[in-house]
Amino acid sequence: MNFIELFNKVAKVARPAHLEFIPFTSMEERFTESSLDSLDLLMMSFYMCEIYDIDDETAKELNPETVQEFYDAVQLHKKRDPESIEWAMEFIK
Amino acid sequence: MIYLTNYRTAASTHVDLLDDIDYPQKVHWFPDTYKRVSSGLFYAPHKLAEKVLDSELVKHLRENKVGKTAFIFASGNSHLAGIGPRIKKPTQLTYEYKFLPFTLTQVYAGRMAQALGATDHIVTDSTACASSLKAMMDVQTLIKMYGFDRVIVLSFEDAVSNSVLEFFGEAQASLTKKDEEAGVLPSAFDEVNHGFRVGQGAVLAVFDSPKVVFAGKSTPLASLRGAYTASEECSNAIGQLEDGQGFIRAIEGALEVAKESAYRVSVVKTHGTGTLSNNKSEKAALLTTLKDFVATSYKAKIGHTMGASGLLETCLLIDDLKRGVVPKIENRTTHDTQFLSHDVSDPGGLILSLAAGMGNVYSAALLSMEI
Repeated sequence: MNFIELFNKVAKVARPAHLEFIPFTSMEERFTESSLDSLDLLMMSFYMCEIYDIDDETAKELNPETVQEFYDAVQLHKKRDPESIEWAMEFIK
Repeated sequence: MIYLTNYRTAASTHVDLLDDIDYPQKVHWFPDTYKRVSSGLFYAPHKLAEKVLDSELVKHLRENKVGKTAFIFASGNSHLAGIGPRIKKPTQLTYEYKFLPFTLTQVYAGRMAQALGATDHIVTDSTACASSLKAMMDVQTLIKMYGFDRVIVLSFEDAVSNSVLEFFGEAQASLTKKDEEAGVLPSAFDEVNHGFRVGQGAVLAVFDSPKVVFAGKSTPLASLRGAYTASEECSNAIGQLEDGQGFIRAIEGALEVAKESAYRVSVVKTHGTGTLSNNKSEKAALLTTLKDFVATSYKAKIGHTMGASGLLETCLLIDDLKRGVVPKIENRTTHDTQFLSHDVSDPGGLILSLAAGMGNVYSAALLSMEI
């Protein structure tokens, strides 16, 4: 599964619909330079941790600064992999 | 003059008995608002709000700014705050939402105001069950005193949360399963049936200044002539004076602001909870202040939607008046031509809308369908 594709789709759910979201194109992109604000990132963390079955306490500790760091943290703590991007998006709707 | 130019309402006539809670009772609700809440990813109050956040209207308001615009989130008794809910035992309503910041009313208001393009003044109101009607006084103040062109009011609260059902059940404020098994049905101003079920409800309403309407930027649906919120000298903060002092002060305040005579009021949307104290208090106030009127109540039909009830029920009345009807109060057992036991034709004239809330608060708004 393409992580960045999933990440962008989840970010669109977390980001309020009326606000612009510029999709990430690189794993090295920094969140501070993205269109996501701190509340969007908080929601992103919980959504992604739900998809990968990472417990809430660990989710709160995650402090990634790039998509790659987010990916690495997920790989370290995950208890499952989503079946597909469609499955993941259905899971958080 | 202030104009109501748009609104969306959500109220439920669907009734279920919630039997696994401390005080089993029937509620009016949207069961889908609690779907999968136990995952912590979904928040029932937000799901309720989505029922009036019509995406086309929200987009239209955001992209067609008319000038200085305010947003009021009338959050009622503030049960929106999902921090530390009282849970004696897990029920079908129990959940723990993971996104704490969005359970704070002003944070939610900020996010919604940005979506609506109402970013010149963003506030919340927690004046209990009078909240959304009390916001009418704020609408009036912002437009008349501070030159706002538009005020958008959003109001909802989750009346079927564990906390509300426990509080109302414990206080014997709402009808319980036991009451209904004894044959009591929700109604108001009736000798046999009385009281209310709680209900989920939401309302989104847009109020514009004359400048906006006369510029052709919106179309008026009704006019808000005057609004006032008052209190009374009552030692019990969850009680009401039976002589209707609080309601009288609110009605007289609204008439004074509107520079209107009580004789012109012909239709009253009562607070109409049907509790013994409200029946006495509200009836006394209306008979003292008004002359020739018909009165209705929506709570027996949709439940008590708490903070949203005042404005939500006002919009429902406007819907009914557009059809030319003032609806009856459900479950009346005696023929009554004033506190209506049957539907009547709209007599015209001014509309008086009333609400009351715990903490000794009473709100009144005068509206007209004549533009």
